[in-house]
Amino acid sequence: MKAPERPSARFDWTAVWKRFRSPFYLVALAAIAVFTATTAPWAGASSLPLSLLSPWLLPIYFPFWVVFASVYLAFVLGWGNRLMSPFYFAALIAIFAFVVLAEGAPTSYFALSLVFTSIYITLALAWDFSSGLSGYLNFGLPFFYGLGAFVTGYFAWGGQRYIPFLLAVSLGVGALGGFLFSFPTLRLRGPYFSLLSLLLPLLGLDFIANYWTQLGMPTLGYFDLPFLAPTPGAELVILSVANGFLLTVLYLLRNSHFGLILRGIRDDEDALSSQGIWTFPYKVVAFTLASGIAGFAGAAYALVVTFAGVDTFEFTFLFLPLLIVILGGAGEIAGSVLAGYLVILVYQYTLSWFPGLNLILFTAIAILLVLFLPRGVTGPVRRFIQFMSTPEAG
Amino acid sequence: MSLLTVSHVTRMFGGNRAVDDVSFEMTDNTLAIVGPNGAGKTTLLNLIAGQLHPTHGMIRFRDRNITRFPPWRVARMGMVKTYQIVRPFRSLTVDENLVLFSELRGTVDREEVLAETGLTDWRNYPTGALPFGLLKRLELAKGLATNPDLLLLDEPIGGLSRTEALALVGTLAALKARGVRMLIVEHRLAEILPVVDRVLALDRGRVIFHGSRSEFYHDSAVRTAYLGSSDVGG
Repeated sequence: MKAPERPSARFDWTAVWKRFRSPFYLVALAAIAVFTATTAPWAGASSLPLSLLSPWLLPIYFPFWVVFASVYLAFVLGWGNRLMSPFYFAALIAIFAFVVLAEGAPTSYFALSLVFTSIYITLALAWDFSSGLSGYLNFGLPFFYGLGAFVTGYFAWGGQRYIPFLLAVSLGVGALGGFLFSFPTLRLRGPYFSLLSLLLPLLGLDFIANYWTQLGMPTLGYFDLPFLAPTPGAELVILSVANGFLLTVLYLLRNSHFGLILRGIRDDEDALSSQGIWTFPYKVVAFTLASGIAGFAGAAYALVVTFAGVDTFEFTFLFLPLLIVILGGAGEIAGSVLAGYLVILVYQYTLSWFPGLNLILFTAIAILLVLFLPRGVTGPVRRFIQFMSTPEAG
Repeated sequence: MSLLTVSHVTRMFGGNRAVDDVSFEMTDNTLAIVGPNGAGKTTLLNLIAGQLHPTHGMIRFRDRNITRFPPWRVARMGMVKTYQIVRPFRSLTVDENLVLFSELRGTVDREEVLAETGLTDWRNYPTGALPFGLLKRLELAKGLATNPDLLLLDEPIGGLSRTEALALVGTLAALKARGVRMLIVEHRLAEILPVVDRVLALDRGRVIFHGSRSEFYHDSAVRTAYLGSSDVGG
C-alpha cells in the first residue's frame, strides 16, 4: 500500500474567505462588534438605551457574540462535527442560562457566587484539558493561578489598570511559566511528574511568605486593584463569555487529532511512541495552554476580590477544580462546566451551614465519586449514547 | 540494498546475555524469528524497534544507523512494531485508533486497512468492548495505518484459537502478496512458517540457524534446541 503524496496545504484559505465574504455576515459582524464595544460591562452596560427592548437582558446578549463567532468559525472551517455533542451544547446553554438568571439581580450574593463559580470552572477546564485528557496529573495548577493574580497585581500597582491588558498579560505569563516548568519535567512519567508539580504551589507560598517583602513588595500581595466590572452581574458576563469561548476552543481541540493524541497518551503512551508519535511536544503544548488559562483565572480572581494575595497559591484552587473534573468526567471538557455549577454553588451555600466541615464533606464526596462514578456523571450517559449509536457488527 | 542490518548486537541485563552477538541481514522478504521460551526473540525485536538499546553492536535500517534512536523515530523511518499483548487505545474507537497514525507517513486509506484486517464493521466500535481476536487484528491494523516499510510483528497469532490463527495468517499472506515486508516473532511454527521466506532461530540469545524455510526443518541445531536431540523425529 503505497500512499499518495501528502497535499502541500491542509486548508484552502481562499475557500474559507469566500464563505466569510457574504456582505450580510460582515455587516452583522461589524454591528455586533460595535454593540459589544459600547455595551461591554466595563463600558457601563446597564445604563445604555439599547436595553429598551428588554431592560435587563439585552446588553448581555452582545458580549456573547465572541462565543457565537467562535462556533460559527468552527463550522466555516469544517470542524462543526467536532462540536456536535449534547454535552457541549448543554454546557453552552448552562453558561448562558446562569447569566440570564443572575442578571435579574446583578448585585446579589447569587450573582457573586456565580462569578466565583465561573472562575473555578475556568480552572477546571484548564485542568481537564491537560491532565484529564492526557492522564498526567498536574498538581501545580494553583501556582499558575497565583502567578496570574500576582502578575495582575504587579502591573496594576505599576499604573496599568486597563482590564483586558491585565487579563492578557496574566494569561501570557502563566503560559510562559507553564512552558518553562513543563519543558524539563514532562520528560518524566506519571507519578514523578505529579510529585514535581506538587512542589510548585508550595514553592510559591514559601516564596511569598518569606521573601516577598524583602524584595520591596507590599506585604503578602497587592491590594486596591481595579474591579473586573462595576457589578457582579457584569463580571459574570465577562467570565461566562470567556468560559463559553474556552469551552468551544478546548472542545474543538479535544475532538481534533491533537486531542486524540492526548487521549492516546492517557491510554498507553509507550504504544503511541512505538508507532511513530513523539508525545513530548503534545504534552508541553497542552500544559502550556492550561497554565495560561490558570493565569487568566488567577487574574480574574484578583480583579474580582481586588486583592492579589498569597491565598491564591492554596490547594483549594486545586481541590475544587479536581472535584469538578471528577464529577464531570475526566477528559469530557463540557462535563467540567456542568459539574462546576453544581459543585461550587453547593460549596458556596454550604460554607455558612457547616463552617470548618465543608472541606471534609467535599473530600468525602470526592472519595465516593471516585469509588462509584469513576467516569463522572457524563460517563454513563456517554456509554449509553455510544451503545445506542453503535452499529450491529457482523 | 539491505533493508535491515543487525551487526553483532548484544544486550545484557545485569550478568545475563539476553541477546548475544546476533548478526543478520534482511532484504526484500519475510523473516521469522523463532526459538524456545527465553531465547531472546522479543528482546531482539525490542532492540530493533528502539524500545531497548543494545549493550554492544549496531542496527542499520535503510542504510542509517538507528542503534540509539528512540522508538518514535524508528517508527517514523518506517519500521513499526506491534505488541504480543495487545495494547489498543481503549478510550478510542477502532477507527480513531487508526486516525492517530494514518497521516504520519503519507496518507493511508483507513478504509483499505479496515477491509484488509476484517474490521470494517467494527470501525465505530469502542475498542474497550472488542473481543481478544479482534484486538489482535486491530494491533495489525494499527501497524498498517503507519504505512510501514517493515512491520515488526511480535507473536501476531499468540493466544488465538487455531481457526482464528489460520484466518490471521491468511491476512498476513495477503499482505505479503501485496508487498508488505514483515519480521515476525512467533512460537507457533506450524501456522506461521508457510507465510515466511526465511527463518532466524535463536537459542539462549545466540543465532543457531539463519536460512530458508526448507533448510530450517532439517537443521540439526534447530532440532536439538527444540527437541533436545537431533535424532528425534526422523
